[in-house]
Amino acid sequence: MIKVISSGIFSSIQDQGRFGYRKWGVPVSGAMDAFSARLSNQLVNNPVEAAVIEMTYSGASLQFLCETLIAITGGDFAPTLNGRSIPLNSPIVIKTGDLLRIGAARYGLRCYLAVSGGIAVAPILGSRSYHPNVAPDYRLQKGQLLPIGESLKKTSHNHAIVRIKKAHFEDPAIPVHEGPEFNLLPKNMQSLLLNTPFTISNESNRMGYRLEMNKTLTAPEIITSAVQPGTVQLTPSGQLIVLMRDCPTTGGYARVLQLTEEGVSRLGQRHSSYISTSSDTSNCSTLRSSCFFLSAR
Amino acid sequence: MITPPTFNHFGEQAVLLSWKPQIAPAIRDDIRQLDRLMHRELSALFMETVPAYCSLTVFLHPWVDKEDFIRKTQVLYKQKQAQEKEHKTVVWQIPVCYDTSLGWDLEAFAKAKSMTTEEVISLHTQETYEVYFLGFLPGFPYLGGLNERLHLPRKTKPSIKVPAGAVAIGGQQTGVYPVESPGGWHILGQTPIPFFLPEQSPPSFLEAGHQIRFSAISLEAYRDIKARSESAFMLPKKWNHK
Repeated sequence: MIKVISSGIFSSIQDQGRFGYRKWGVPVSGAMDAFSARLSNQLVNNPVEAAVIEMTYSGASLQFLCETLIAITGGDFAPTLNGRSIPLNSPIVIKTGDLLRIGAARYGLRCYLAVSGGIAVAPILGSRSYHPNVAPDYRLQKGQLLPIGESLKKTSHNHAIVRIKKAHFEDPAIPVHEGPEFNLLPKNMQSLLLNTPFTISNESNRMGYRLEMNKTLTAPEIITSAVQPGTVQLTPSGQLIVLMRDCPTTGGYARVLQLTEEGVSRLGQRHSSYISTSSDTSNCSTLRSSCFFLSAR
Repeated sequence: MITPPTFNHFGEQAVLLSWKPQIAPAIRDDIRQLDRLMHRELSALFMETVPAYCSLTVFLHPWVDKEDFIRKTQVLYKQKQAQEKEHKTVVWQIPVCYDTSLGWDLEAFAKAKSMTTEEVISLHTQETYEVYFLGFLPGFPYLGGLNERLHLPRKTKPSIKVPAGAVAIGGQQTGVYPVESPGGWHILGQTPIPFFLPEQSPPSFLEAGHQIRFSAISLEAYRDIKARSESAFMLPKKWNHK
């Protein structure tokens, strides 16, 4: 068991997502930066889809009521164990009674904590991911006790610190494909979409990021059709929205771009900041469809 | 004859099948038949599908070659007409309390349509509505079949809180809010039947292809059914054609 001493600004239980229920309108959800969540699980010998704790902006304080192994990945939130600084991206042995404090973000927007055996709350529709309408109880609250699953191995022989590609946090390039309605845009608008700087609005959350720009782009509505995490919608009034993990399953706005899976994880770590697009396709040479970049600076 | 769908990649793992962009029963049936057939013949290739008015999105397993899936589905589509039999549908009877304490926009709605509230209720309960697909919110049905006399543009100012169970009209559509949400539709009443239960699998009794009819109930009956539905799992009754 883990006792939640304080929850941080917004901390929730997340795994790799809720699949198989989209036709009933159930959002996928799951870790915003799925890449970091998978890494945290690998470091403690969990299956990659085990449930972890996702912390946003600032972290939680947690007390362990048992021996275990943990790993912290994602943004650097200055974690300490019993007051001593501990490294990211490395397995850490925990003793009963240990106090883990996750501080405020020094870089990145979200940080992940994996515990050997995984966070073992009951799955809802096949997933332990928090969503306000589907699994509303899976947001961390002060005083809560979190169950931990059975682990195969409590110790790790791999004590190396994994070094993460800098690009994950720093590269301004967010790789995208053309979306279903990209070709319906006039050529000048297609080129503006891929060459105009954007900023991430403060009105951004796990459902979607609103992008702001100084150019006017617009697209007519479509007959409601499927959307997915990473779909970039353009509204008639000129709003660009990047749908993220908690997005609805269908929508009525033009789907002009589609982020790659890696792109969604990267964007999940970006603060409101300056981003721009360019048509540099060099990093996507192995992909068959044309590839562009939404890029953060 | 229906023009066959076009096939396009939708990101790394999905394929989007698009029919002519219109809302039409023939297209709806074509999508439904192909969706059923794909689940029967190609289910090893994908995780799930999302049907909509004139599209079918297929989320493939990461190891599946998209072009190979497209070829197989095109072959399946050509075989489809010969094999497919008509599927029996379910008609659910949804009790709705149109009391103005629950349907707080009913009077304003009737006034805007120059009708009495009784006329609105009568028109709303006369039709059989078809579930085209679910989306927007967990368990939210996109319904076809609203009487033209009940079409009314959405409210200019959306309500911040529409309660779960609200039965509403927005533009040319009617629907039921399965969970609390902001919304711009006119609230005509509320149903005590839960439309989304995440602890059940599947989480909704509705599926694309099902039909529903609304039937008016009193405030007392609403309270009674509501109390019972909160203590035990409850399905609506099936409609009996007399």
